[in-house]
Amino acid sequence: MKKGALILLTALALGLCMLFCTRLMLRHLDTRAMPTEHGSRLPELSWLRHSFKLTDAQFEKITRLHAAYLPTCEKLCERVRESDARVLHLGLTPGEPVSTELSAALRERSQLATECQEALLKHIHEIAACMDAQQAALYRARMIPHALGVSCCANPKAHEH
Amino acid sequence: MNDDELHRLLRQHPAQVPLASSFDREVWSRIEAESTRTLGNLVAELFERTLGLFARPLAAAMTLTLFATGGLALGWQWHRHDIEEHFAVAYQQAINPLYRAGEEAGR
Repeated sequence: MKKGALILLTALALGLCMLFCTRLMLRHLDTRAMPTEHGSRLPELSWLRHSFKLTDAQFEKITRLHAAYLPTCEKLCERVRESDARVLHLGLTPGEPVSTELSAALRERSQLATECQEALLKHIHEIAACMDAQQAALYRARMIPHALGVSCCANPKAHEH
Repeated sequence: MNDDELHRLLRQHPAQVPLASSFDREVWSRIEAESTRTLGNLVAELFERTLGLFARPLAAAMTLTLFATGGLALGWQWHRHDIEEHFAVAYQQAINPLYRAGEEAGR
């Protein structure tokens, strides 16, 4: 019995060792082989193609939409950076805790955040329109919680009760 | 040779096998255990017998191979899932101006 238990424990340890070693080794290989910069959009779009099983025609259309959206995204990104810098500058200025200027800058910042979310939602729906119904449902379920900044675990049905 | 004859011969030449001192005690404890069989005893016995199976060379080799292969397969799956998540998050971040602004400011 002792021998059997020893063999079983050894097998378990071996299995766990193989599990973690495989993962570590592959992660090490992949971080060297693949670009991780967000500026490189090719791997992300490849993920979209692979994950949603897009056809060549769908992928081509989505790539075009993605490329067309990026300048809008860049412009919004630039405006957010400027707005953040202004809010930070006003927040660090000695005086009233919330000055009139800071209040206006914060309002402008939240308006801009809404604008960004709207642009992102519009883009998500444009992309979803290139997919079939099932792909689009999966894509929206994955992307919309992120665009809205809410947890994907929030259950919309919970509000019905 | 009929049975009576064999019986007589066996009675004339009893085997002189030396028994271990604990033999009688073990026999009686087994008889006792058999007579008081509970669910716990049965489970323990089943567990013992199952563990005993792993001690056989072929079963041991198969168990080790199975666990090693299982670990390898699970590690591969885990890695694939990580990669999927990595690119999913990268895609979400690439199209989100709010995230990108925060990320570039943080550099």
